[in-house]
Order: sequence, then C-alpha cells, then structure tokens
Amino acid sequence: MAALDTVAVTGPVPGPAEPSLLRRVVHDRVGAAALAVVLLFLLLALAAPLIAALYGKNPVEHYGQNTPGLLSDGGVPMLPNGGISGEFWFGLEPGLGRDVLTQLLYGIRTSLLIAFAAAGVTTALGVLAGVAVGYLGGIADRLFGFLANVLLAFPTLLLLLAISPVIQSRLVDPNAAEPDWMQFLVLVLVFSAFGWIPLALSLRATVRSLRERDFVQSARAQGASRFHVVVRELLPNVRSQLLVHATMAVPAFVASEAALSFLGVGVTEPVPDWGRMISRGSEVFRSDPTYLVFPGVALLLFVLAFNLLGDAVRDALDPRRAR
Amino acid sequence: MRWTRPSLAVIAAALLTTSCSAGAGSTGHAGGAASKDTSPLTAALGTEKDSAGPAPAVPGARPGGTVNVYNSVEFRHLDPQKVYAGATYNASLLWGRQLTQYQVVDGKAKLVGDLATDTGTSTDEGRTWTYRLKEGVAWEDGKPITSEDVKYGIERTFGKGYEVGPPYWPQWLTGEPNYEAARAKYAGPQAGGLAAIETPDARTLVFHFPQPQADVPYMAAQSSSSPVRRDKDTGTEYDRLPFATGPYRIVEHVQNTRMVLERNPAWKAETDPIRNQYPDRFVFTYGKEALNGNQEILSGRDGGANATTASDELSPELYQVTDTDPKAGELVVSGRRGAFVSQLVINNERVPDVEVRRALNLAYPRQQARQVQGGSRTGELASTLSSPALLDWQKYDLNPARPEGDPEAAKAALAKAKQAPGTLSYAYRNTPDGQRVAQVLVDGFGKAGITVVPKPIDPKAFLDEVHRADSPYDLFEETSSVDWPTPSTLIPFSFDGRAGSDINSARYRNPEVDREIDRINRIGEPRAKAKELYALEQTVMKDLPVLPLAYPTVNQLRGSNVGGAFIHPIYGAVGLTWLYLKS
Repeated sequence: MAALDTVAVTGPVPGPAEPSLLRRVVHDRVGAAALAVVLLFLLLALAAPLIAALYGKNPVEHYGQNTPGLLSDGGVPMLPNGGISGEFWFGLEPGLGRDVLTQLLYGIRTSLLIAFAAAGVTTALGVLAGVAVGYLGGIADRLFGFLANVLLAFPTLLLLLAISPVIQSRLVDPNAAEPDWMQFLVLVLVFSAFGWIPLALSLRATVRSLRERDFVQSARAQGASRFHVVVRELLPNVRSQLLVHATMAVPAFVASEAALSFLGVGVTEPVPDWGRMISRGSEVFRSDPTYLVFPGVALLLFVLAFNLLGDAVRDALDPRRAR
Repeated sequence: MRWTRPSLAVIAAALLTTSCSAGAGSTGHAGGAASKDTSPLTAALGTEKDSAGPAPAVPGARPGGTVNVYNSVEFRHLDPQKVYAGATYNASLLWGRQLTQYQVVDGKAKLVGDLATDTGTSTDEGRTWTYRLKEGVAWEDGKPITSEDVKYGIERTFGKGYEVGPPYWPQWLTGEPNYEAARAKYAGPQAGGLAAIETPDARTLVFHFPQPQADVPYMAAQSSSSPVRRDKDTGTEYDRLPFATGPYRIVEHVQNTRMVLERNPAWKAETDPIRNQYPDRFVFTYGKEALNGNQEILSGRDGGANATTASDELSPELYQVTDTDPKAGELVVSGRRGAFVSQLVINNERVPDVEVRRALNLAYPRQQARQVQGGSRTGELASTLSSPALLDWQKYDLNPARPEGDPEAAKAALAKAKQAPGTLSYAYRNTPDGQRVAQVLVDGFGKAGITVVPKPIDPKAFLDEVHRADSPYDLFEETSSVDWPTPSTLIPFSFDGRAGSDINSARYRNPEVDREIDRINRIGEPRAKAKELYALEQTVMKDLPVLPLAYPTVNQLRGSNVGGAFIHPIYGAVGLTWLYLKS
C-alpha cells in the first residue's frame, strides 16, 4: 500500500470543483465494471430472501432427498450437469440435495457479513492505533512496535483450528447448538485481532511524517489540542489510505473465510457458505464436476471484482496519476 | 469387548478439468452394485473329515507370480497374541495357523480344525475341551508344531503388553470376569506353566475351564490361539517378524513400508483344509494413499493389475468410474463387512421413555442417512442387533419403520410418551460425511417434531466422548462387531446392565435381561446357546435401546489379472489365501 502524502485542503478550493471519488472511479472502465459487479453482489445478498421467494426454493430444504427421482441411490443428481433443470436452475447439491442457487445467494450474505464486519473493525482499530501511535511516538511507539511483531508472528490459522473445538466444548451447553452469532463473532474477532496490524503500521509511518509538516506544526503553535490535531489535521490526510485498505480487506476476508470453511473450522451447517460448497465440490468432483463450478466461479468473480475496485479507488485517489 | 471402527473419512481431492458431467440417471443402474439380499452366512462347525486337507481348489487357479497388496496403513500388530482386528486376522492367514479356522467355499464359511484334527470335543458340559494336533504340521524351519507350542502361545495372552489382544483366554481359563483379575492369578509364561491347559503328549491339548464355555471352537480360530515356539519368541521383535506356520513366510518386513512373503517349504497342503499356495510371493506396500492405490489397480499400471488392497476401500471419488465403466466395475469386490452392524445408539439413561425411542425409530430417516454416505453400496438397512454373518441368524423386525422415516407415525407415537423430549443432542464425528448425516437427522427428526441438536466432535476423541460415564449426548452413531460369528459377545456384553458405559454404550439396564445372561452363559453347547441368545435379543429389542441402521458392505478393488478374489465372510476384507494370478 503506497503511503500517500496529500496535504489537507483547508477552506474552499479555488478554481473548478474536483470531480467526486465515485465519478473518478466510474471514469475508469475497469473500475466501473468492478463497481457494477460488486453492487450486483450486494444487491443479490440483500434481496436473497426476495429472490428465493420468487424462485420458490430455500437453501435448507433437502429437495433431492424428499422428492424421489432427483438423486440416485448414492446421492448423485440424476439429470446431467449436476441436476440443472427448469426447476433447479443451478442444479442440486449431491448428497443432501439442496438447491444450489439459493445456497449461493445466501452464501453471499455469510461471506459479506463476516468480511464487512471484519473490515470495519480492522479499519477502525488500525486508524485508532496507527494515528495515535504515530502522533505520540516515544514509549507508545516502541510498545506498539513490540505488540505488532508479536501479533504478526501469530499463526492465525492454527489458532482458529485450535480454538474452535474449545469454544464448542467450553462455551456451548452440551444440549444446545453453537448459536450462529457465536460462530460469526468468533470469526470476526479472530480476523480483527490480527488484521488491523498492517494498516496501523502503514498509518504510523504516514502520520510520523505528517506531524513534522508545517500545517501540523502551525496548528500546534496556535495552541490546538491534541484531539484537534489528530481529528482535524491528520485524519483527513489518511482518509484515502483507509478507503483503499477497506476495499482491499473485504475480498481478502471473503477468501480467508472460504478457506477456513474449506478446512472445516468456518461457519458450520446449515448456514450456507461458499467455502463449504467448494470443499464439497472437490469431494464429488469426479461424479459431479458442475457442483464445483458455481461456488468456484462466484468466489472468483466476487474477489476479483472487489480487488479491481480497490485498485480503481487507489488510482482515483492517487494525485500523481494524471486525470 | 468389541471392535469399533470410525466411519469412512472422505479424502478431498480437487482437480480441475473442463469436462461436462453426466448425471447419475445416465449410468443405467442407479448407484452401482447394491449389496446382495440378506442371507445368513452360517459359520457352522465342520466335522473331522472337513478338517482334513487339502483345501478345496479354487476353480481356474494356477500357481506362480507375485501378488501386490497395497494399503495406506500398516497392520498395527503382527504378533499373533496382539492381533485384534479383522483385516489383520485375514492377512495373517498367509503366514499363521490356529487351532481352528474358517474354510470358505462359495462365500460360505464353515469352522473346521486347522492345526487341530477337528473343532474340539467337550466333556463335562463344556468345562473341558480337548484338541489333537494333526500329524505333519510344521514350523517354517521344518520342526513339528507341538501342543506345548500352542499352550505357550495361549499363555502369552496373560503377559504384560498383551492386553491389546482379546481378553477371552485369560478370563475363561481362570474363570475371572475381567482381564486384570485373571492376570492377577497367572501373569504369563514367565510365571511358569498354566495348570488349566494340560499337554499329556506332544499332540494333545486339554483345556480346563472353571465355568462351561460354549464358544471355545470359535475362540480357537482367533489369532490369539496361534502357536508360538518358546525358542523363537523374540518379544517385541516378534511383532515385526513372527515365525511362520502357514503357506508363506515373512522374508522381509520394513515397518510402515514394505513386507515380502515367500512360499514356506515346510507347509504341507495335505494338512491344511483352508489355505492355498498359488502365487510365489506376496509383496505388501504400505503408505500409499488409498485413492492412489485404487487408481493404480484400476489402470493396471505399475503392478496394479496384479494387486489388491489389504483393507483400503474403493474411494468414493471413484464410484462414478466403477459405475459407468463396465471394465472398472468388474474389478470391484463387494461383500459384507464381517459381522459389523451400524446403529444409532440412544443413551437410555437420558432417554428413558420407550415411547420416545419408538418415535425416534419411526422418524429415523435411515435411507437418507445412507444416501449421503454413498447409498446402498455402503450397506443393507438393518432391523436387528445381530449381524446376518452370525451362526443360525434369522431376520426379524419387531419395530417396522419406513426406511425414509414416517413423521406422522412418529408424532402419533410421541403423543403416547409420558413427556415429549425437549431437545436431543446428537454427537457425531466432525468429518464431511458426519456433518451431512447430522443434517439428515436434524431434518428428518425435525419433521416429526423432535428437535435434534448436532454436536460435532473431534474424530479422534469421539469414542471416549460418547462412551464416558457422564457423557452429555443423547444420540450417536456406532459401528461395531461381535468377536466371532456367534451372538455370545453381543447381548452379554453390550446390553448387560452391569457393564460400564464403554461397553454398554446405550446404558441399557434391564435386570431381567441380566439374569437371562447369567443363565445362558452357563450353557456349554454353541447352537443351543445361540438360540437362547437370539430369543434374548428380541427381548432387548422390544425396549429399542438402539436403532439399527445398516449391515455395512465392504467394497475393495482387485487388479484385472487377480483371480479368486472375494470378501472373507468373517473378516470382511479380500481373502488373500484364495488369490491367484490369471497369467
């Protein structure tokens, strides 16, 4: 992530008005396409129950098992291409016989909920820590450096693999299922606990150089409080950095969440989840390759669109880039 | 004491190709080879004439060649007194002989004398059993096998380090109900000879039991009843290189890697009514992933045409290949997994109301649970506690239920219950298969108004978790087997109210059944005892302590050049001593 050295524009800007960020992103053709795909996914996620109701299926019912003739004795869809038909547009899940289309739709919600929550928390934490430490310097800076090193060295994946059974057995009553919110919360917390460090580190560097600049020095000389300096002078200058970080963090978290589900420590049944769909797809790949295609392509598109959007945002905010 | 095994773990393998998939409907036969109809595989006792060698010839067999045996894991033990697993019993027939053994003709097993001239004669109502060894039976160095060698082998089962094997000889010979107490009376060959086994001459063995024992002929077929020669007993090293008595001897064994067997020149076909000696060599290769081994066998490359597996099953990833390609389909060897039965165990302490258990039985979506694990190829739906592989088994169904579950009938049954259950917890091994079965049960029982809470458990900790006395789970699946094909180790162990929850995992307690167990255990004649035990099984099943799910089926592969392959009806794996190479 490039450290940016834009200077806060205080007061009304003379000359022609700067085009808005959105307009600048859309001006880039790739950015426009990426934004369209991202918005489409968001819309699908929001409208999932509506679409499912119109389509007449839900993601939890075992259609293939309840209706004879859809799945073979061994659980493979009877129709070619994963059981795609006018009834089941994307086919049926081998084994349980759930509807693939609604699973995918509701899967977006799982991915996005976790990714947005984790991106929000990491960004907030990163800003708080990065700006504060960068501005304060001294002992706070050294302590932070140590903490960052420890957290960066932490094996996140191993931690998740290790704590998920502990949470199951210690925090959940033996006769109750682990509530969905707890699974989501654990994932968001673990992602957040380790995800804020890179942003905080880069912000610390930016703020360190910013605080020596004239406009900050003059604000301090005029007797501005620390709070004022941080909020009014420094934060506006790291805003673009934040935006870029957040847009890049979302697809990273979506991919990580899918990877965890693939390994069996993510969100559990029956909450629809892309990672689990991909894992199942790889198991049944030989008998029903179609089943792997849908979640695979969806995840690829989704992560790609978000990454491209992140690039477009970064380019749009880069003052060195000719517009 | 029983064998329990974890359910098949599916290994994921992702390879991207661009092929379009054909639906299962286009294969012509849905789901591939279904298991055969329920037929009792009665392991009856053979006569002295049946016990004489040589073994019935395998039609079309020819001698020569090397058979490869692939397996992902090595056998845990080779020391005959430590072996306690069906697949190892099966493979050790190649190099080890016992007092009795199962002769298999056309897939039917008959117990006959192996080293002994017959399956044993009992006097004193089953308290005294006499065996006579055949003439001409010899060790791999040509020295004759004596009654003293057999006695020494059985004495070893009392020794330190041998508790991994079955506990029956020590318990029966001392009359103590548990193994530790038996060992306190006699601590193995180091403590001198065991008085309960007499060897009046080099060919005669007389067992004296404090209580009548009907199952001695079957116990005499267990690996624990193999002879061991005192001067060849190398202690822990014997677990790597046992001294051979069978048609092959072990010439090389690198643990977890490779084992080579060659013909044993001292073995005489005319003394052996069970084993053949067609191939020149057997080469065991361990450590190959099951899927890789299976693919080699299917392709026939790198010796795959001459290969089979010791216990690795046909990988689920290859079901589609064997279903659609007739040539590949021919290479699948299917048969019942010995005497295993899988069942949904109900913790009877936590679910004491029989009407609730009846409702569970009616709502149980057995067919769907089997479908997500591979369908009918994985087993035949069960209605009994005992396996069709047992002596004089007869099918019965005291609690008929629809295979796909009947929510309405279950609701009606539930209405009769004193109190409807709140929620029931279902513990399962946290594997992809386990998760799917859990979803099926949540869905199926949910339709009948029974809320099931799925609880994933680490597969390695699963048995400990569900067997411990204060286990908090109401339901779990278990696949287990009796120790030999009579019902003697079924009800008297798993449904004895005085047994611990590690054995009586359903926590079933019925004093009337316990009294019957004590009475039946005093019967010294196998068939009479079996008959009484089947009657007692029906008494138990009226209380529905567990819900039978399936009699599991084994599907293994054999190479295209391998002849004579079938699943051993008792040990549940491809029988190796009947194999030959076609060219």
